[in-house]
Amino acid sequence: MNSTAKQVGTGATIWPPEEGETITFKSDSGLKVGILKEVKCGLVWRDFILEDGRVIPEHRILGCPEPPVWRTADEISQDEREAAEGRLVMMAEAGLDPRDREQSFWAELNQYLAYTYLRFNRTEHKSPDAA
Amino acid sequence: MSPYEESEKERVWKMLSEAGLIDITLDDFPERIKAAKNVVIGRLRELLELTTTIQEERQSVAYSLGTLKKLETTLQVDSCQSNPGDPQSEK
Repeated sequence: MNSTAKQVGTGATIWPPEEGETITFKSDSGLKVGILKEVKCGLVWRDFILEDGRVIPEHRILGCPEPPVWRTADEISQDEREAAEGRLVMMAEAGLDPRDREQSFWAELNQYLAYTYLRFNRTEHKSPDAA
Repeated sequence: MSPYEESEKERVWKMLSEAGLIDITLDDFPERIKAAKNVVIGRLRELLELTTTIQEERQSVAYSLGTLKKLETTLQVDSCQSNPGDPQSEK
């Protein structure tokens, strides 16, 4: 473990953690740790990219404030959506396995399905400010 | 964050949780892709019934549907190839 990394996810108040910090996250096999490389905004939520390439959604990181920072479907531009669709098709055609959890294909596909659902499954719920 | 924004985020979180789209489990992708496809098809149907719809929106919805179908097909093929002993893959 990186001895200079600050341990977060145990009650830290600074969010998100900085690059190089050790983060703790929930996985199918219990809690795991990794070194944060960067934080990327996905189509709905933020993904934490670890130095070893694993991609962890923000809401699985210990210490993540609730509710986490999420984008609305309206915030996504056509260019961004098309770029995400292009990457997904390319990864699928390249034979990557989306069931390989914590890898970018799983992360991108999960977000794309969530985004698509939110984009088209619009209920009658409107902002109180809406005319 | 205003109380409205907060409750809106909670509503979205709940909606996605109920649809099983927050942390998709290992074998649920085919089912979740199908669910997303159904939502897109529903929207496309609505748009086709409207006379005032902007062509661009129809195209965008149709493109998303195409992407989901492509993902569904590719992943199904991969799944069959990775389970040669699975009787379903021999259909």
